[in-house]
Amino acid sequence: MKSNVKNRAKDGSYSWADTPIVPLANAAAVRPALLLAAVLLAFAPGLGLGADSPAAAAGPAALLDLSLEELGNLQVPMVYGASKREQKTSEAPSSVSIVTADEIKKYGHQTLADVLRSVRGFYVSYDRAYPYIGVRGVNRPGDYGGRVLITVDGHRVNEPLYDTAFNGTEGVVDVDLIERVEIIRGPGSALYGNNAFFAVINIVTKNGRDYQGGEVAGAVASYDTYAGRLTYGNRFHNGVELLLSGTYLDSAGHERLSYPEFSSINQGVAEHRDGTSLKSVFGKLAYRDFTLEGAFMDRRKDLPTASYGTVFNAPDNFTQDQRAYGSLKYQHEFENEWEVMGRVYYDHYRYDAAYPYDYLDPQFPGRITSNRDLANARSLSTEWQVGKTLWERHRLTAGFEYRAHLRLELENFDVAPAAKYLDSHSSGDSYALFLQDEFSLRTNLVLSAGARYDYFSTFGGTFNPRAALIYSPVPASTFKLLYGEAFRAPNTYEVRYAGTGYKSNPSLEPETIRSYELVFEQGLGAHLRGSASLFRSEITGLIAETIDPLDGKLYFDNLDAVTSQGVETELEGVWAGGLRGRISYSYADARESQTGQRLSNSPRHLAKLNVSVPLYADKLFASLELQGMSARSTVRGGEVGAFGVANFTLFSRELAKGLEASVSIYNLLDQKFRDPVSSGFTQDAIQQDGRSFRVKLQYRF
Amino acid sequence: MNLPLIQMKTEPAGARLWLALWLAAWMGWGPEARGADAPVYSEQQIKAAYVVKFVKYVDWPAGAFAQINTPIIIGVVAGDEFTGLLRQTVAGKTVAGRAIEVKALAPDADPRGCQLLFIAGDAQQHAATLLGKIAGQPVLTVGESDRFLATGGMICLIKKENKLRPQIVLAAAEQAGLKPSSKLLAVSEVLKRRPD
Repeated sequence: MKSNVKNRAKDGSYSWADTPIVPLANAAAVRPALLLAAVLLAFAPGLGLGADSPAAAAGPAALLDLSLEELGNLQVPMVYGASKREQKTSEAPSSVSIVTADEIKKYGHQTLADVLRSVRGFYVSYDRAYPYIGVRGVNRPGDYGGRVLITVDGHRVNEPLYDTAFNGTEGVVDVDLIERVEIIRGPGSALYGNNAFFAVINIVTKNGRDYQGGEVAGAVASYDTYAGRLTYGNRFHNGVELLLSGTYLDSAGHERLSYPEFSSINQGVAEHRDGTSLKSVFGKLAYRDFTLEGAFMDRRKDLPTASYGTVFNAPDNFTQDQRAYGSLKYQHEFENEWEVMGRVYYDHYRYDAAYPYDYLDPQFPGRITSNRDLANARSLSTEWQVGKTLWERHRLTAGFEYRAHLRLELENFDVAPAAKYLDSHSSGDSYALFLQDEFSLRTNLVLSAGARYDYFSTFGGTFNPRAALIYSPVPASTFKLLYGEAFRAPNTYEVRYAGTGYKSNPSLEPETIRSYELVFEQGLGAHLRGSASLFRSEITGLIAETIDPLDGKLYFDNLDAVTSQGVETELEGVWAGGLRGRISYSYADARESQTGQRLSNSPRHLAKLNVSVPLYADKLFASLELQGMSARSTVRGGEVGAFGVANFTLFSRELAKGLEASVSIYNLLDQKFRDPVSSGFTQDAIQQDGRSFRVKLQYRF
Repeated sequence: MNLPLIQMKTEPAGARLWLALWLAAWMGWGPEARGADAPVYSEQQIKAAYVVKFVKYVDWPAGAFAQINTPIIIGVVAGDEFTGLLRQTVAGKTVAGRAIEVKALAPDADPRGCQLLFIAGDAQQHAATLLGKIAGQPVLTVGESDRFLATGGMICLIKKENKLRPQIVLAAAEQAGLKPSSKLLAVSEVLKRRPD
């Protein structure tokens, strides 16, 4: 039997320029509705791209026309985090992106932030302390990323004091240990509770069996950066599986960073004030139904920006984060098809920052006082989940969660002369119940509905539903109609912080989001897949940093409502031999609902291209990333311009047995661009890194 | 504030026309809907394709078949869905002049007489018994549970980074007199010995 799969593979050699999606990349001036029509048309099976290929009656037998190698390259994109169970991304009640270990290596991604920068609709801004994740036009300066929930193997990583979504060098897990990153867009509080506001990012880590021995990796990069990793993983005779890994990174950072705002001090140059040191350990021990997992990360980052009114170019201005957890998980599927998961875990977060101040005391001119900002959180939690298919058509999942925040501490003081500004000790707890039903109305129509009730000892209860209608009229096409609500609880920092220049606001309430989304996913032949989604999110009580004009102090408040709406489109292709790529364009219009004013740090247009080309067999690959972002306004009403960044990586594996090597050039064209920062900075925006490189070697033994 | 993308009133008629055409295409009124060319294959479909490919890319010893045109029998210990899928996949196919037959087996059945035995992940608990019954015989054993190779199986279809690749314990296949081709070995992860 001859089918068309192979022919289409040949015909399918579309260059990117042939596809109607490309005009989107410079779409700034095009009317969005026309754009959408173009995108939808491109994906429509009867009229679009497929029109020049003959109709195929390709059943499962068509797969036999693929070579063994092509078969091994077909993608079976699975996602766990969307419904708290493993399912195909097309069946998930969300718009999902998956980034695999293979892509992370080939594109030379060094942190989770690098991964997210390559994903449609996401952007990351950096103030030389932490990277902050923006989604769908919302990335408020002064916020630590609490509107995105990051989980590692389902375990919550955001800490309870600042909600920090660790994603830079301070990421809890070395990216080398990541099997895949699941990016699940839309409100997820119906399953996850707090922080699952715009998206949930679930990191699935590798297992001991993936190593069968030891692995050592070392990297040298620009700015005197040296990194190393040692990993051992195996599955033993008795069924015990072990993974143990340690990472070390030391970077001197930029020798000189120029900030014209401080031109009166050292000509505005911060010298040797950008260092980073990182130590992290990750381990996993599994036996039968039990998994013990632990992570420890300690990072210190020097601050060159003189943020929060500190003395410019002074020594001992740093921020240090320590995040750790230990978790014991039990997972079992009983004979009667009940699936049970239980987990107990302990979480630790410690933050220590030093800020050098000159209090302009006339008695001691030029004296620098070290102000310290400390935070400590410890919590003990448990989580239970059961799942079962009932009456054939209902897949039910129910869960319970209890979290005891044993310690929530914030301290702020001067070292000498000693002065205490803040000493807040509190504790609290929360519990939650959720239920989810995936109801197969027909074989090609699923209603996934769920809701979760969370109760916090601090502010009370919140109820968050989600519903999704997933319709697949033909196997290649999927429509998803999504509705969801979510919340973000005010964190300890926002409620209780009152240090130098800050005051507390105990009457803060949770912020809430309501989101509507229409997703369309379309397979185009054996190699291409397109997706388009329209979204609208209404946020009320958004918590943001503001200045009280009366005393000039910063504080947090439930500010105006915000509406964000737009469209995301992507075309992804995977071909035999390792050639693959994706191109995306997203438009987001995020405004304060009352004034109609556009949010700061909110680019309207994001365009991305990722292409990886095999140069020699399955051994040598050249990969290019292009990321473009339109102009953004700053918190003080200024503007940072549009920019485009190109990153290039040459990656090889098995050129010698067990050896992997890569050379990366980031910001290849040395583009100058800036990211808006919070009102705690004198600068309106912070200059980002120019061209830089990394050479990495990895050896498995 | 309205979503600018669906603010139809202010948009040119062209956009509306295109949208209508597009909708019409979807509802089957447009030029020839071609829904059947499912490009997004399921894990089960890919596994079924692999099983059939294995028949082509493994050499059985001369004594494994009664006659030159004796059909190749694939024994399947799996649910109806996978068995049906496999039947669809092999329909009308021949390998070296032999037809391919798919035989559904109960977990307690005797798999002798098959040339290839597939044991689904759900049936892993019966794998040791099933494999015991054909020990030393030229039967290619294929499974999908992550414990299948440790139980004594020869090929396991394992999903890694969203792709399905075969893992082969070469020694186990060779002991049974089977010769996987170099092409198959090239795309597989070849294990020197049975995992623990």
